[in-house]
Amino acid sequence: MSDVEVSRVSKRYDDLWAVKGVSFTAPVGSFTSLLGPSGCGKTTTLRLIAGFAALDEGEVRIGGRPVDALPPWRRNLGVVFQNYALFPFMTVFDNVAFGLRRRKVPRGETAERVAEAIDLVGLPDLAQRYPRQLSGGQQQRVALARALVIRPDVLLLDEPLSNLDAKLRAEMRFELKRIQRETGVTSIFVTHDQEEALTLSDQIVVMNLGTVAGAAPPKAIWEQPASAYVADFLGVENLFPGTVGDAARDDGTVAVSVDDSAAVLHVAATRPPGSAVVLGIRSEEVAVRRGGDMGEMDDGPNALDGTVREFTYIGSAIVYQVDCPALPGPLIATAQREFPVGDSVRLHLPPGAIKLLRPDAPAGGSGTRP
Amino acid sequence: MTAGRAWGGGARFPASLATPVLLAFAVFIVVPCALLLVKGLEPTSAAGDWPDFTNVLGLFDSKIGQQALNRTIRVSLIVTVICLVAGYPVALFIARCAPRWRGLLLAVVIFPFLISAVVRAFGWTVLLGDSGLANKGLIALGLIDRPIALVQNEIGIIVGETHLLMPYMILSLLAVLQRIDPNLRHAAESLGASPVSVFWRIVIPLTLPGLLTGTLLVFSLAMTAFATPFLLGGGRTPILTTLLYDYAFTLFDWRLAASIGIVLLILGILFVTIHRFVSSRGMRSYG
Repeated sequence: MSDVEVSRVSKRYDDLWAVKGVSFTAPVGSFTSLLGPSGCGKTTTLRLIAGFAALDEGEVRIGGRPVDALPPWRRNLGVVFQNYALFPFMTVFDNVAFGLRRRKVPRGETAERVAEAIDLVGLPDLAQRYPRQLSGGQQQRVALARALVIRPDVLLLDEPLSNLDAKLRAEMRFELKRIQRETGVTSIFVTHDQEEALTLSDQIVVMNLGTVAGAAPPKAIWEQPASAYVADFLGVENLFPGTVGDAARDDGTVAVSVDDSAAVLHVAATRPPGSAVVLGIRSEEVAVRRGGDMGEMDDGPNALDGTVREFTYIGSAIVYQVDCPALPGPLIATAQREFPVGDSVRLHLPPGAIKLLRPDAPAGGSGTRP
Repeated sequence: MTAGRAWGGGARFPASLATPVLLAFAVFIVVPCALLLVKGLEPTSAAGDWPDFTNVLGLFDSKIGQQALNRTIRVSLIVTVICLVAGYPVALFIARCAPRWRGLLLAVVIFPFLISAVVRAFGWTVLLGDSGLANKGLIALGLIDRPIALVQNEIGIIVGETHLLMPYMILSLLAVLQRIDPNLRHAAESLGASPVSVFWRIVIPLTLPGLLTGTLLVFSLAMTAFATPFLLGGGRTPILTTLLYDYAFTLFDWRLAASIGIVLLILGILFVTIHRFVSSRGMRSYG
């Protein structure tokens, strides 16, 4: 087991930086996710750690040792690919035994360790089958067994669940977590799925345009995203640029005016007056009530009137798109109650639920020019 | 396979469109083969009955027939091996090139197809002749004192046929090499396989289908080539096809010529059978 230190790593393809100055540390035995949209450099980062591509700048250390001079076949890493990359002309047994045979492990021990690995990943007795005779989920498990049987210092996973159907994906998520806990192998997992990253990781590294946009444990990144981009990627539906108004008030809130609108929202936070921020609130934190319904409680601050523009039923709730004249764009809110399209509603944004986020430089295209 | 089913599935028109060509092929294969058998197995004496194997078997008794048979097999095998060993690195190189270079290199490989075998054979006669570029070069390098015979013998046939058939091998290999998932190589590398090990244990098995197609094409085309061995081999190094030509158009012995045809047919069937057997064993895991 080893930790992985990625420091200021850059990779250029022609005149485009696929990865630029990426740094993070994956502690021994931890599960780190690289999360981001396609083209953000997460897979390139993984390939640089594996040694499939040479980095242009920076350094990768595994167990404290720089590995940049080592070819992939001397790094002792387990890699699981999105398409599994099983050797089609080899049986399951030969696929899993491949790494052990390259290491000149004696026959008896090879058979034992292959059986162990197949057992670990929960495969039934399929050792003499060929990959094409297996289901996607089974191929996935073979790929895991093949990567783990060599007892790698680090396990690298490149979107391993994205080719599975939803039900199997949820199942394999638990399996991955169990296997990682049982083996204790330091794992780096590339994904574009925030739910996968949240459920599996000890640490999430959110990437954008070849750089790290934020890195934190799942709970921290969920509750306090580092920037508007990170919040957007972690499913904060409502994001509005704003400017902090006068000094902090007695109740511990600041008044933030939403740019390009008349709305002023009170937020439980402290920021110097005049700061440019992005206000963010998740749809489920927005309370929706019938318009003109005075209810039992005082509206307090942050009450907005709006009209239902559209709604979608998602089973556990209804998601509303509400036009608020006071805001520059529609607001997304979740509620249990049904409101037809065109209905007047009153929205309440609790000051404690609104996050004040650091604005990002405007995103454009993939990668940055040097 | 899946694609075929998707195309076929109930649509009648592809079958009816294929019929004329299939029918023509059937007629042009079956009828000549029947004629070949009728003529080649014709009785040698007036009293004999039809299947008379004297001519076919007699071919192996004559010194020239024996030599031609051995040379045909030997040359075809050597050409196949040279095409495989020399063509594989070329195919590998082209497959790993950037796409814009790949097209150019592919054109270079296919270019010989644009020149007729006869013109190419004359070209080789000039290059390989006593005062040709090859001999002059070897003398200049001090490897030989005086010109050696490179043409009008087996060397000439091998050089000419290798040049003629190399594109078939390269294209067959390229077809499978380009389909290899690069992740397979990475997977093998991450598991501790050096590039040499990756080549022998991953790339070679993955290209086996193309390798088998290539050898089948090259061997059968080498065995049945006529113009190239005729022009570069000369009269004293007959192979089965040139001997057949001699019998048919110099001696006007159609019966003897047909019997060589039968031998070539048997050789072809034999090779395809062996090839199919090897393929089915080697590719069991490909499905």
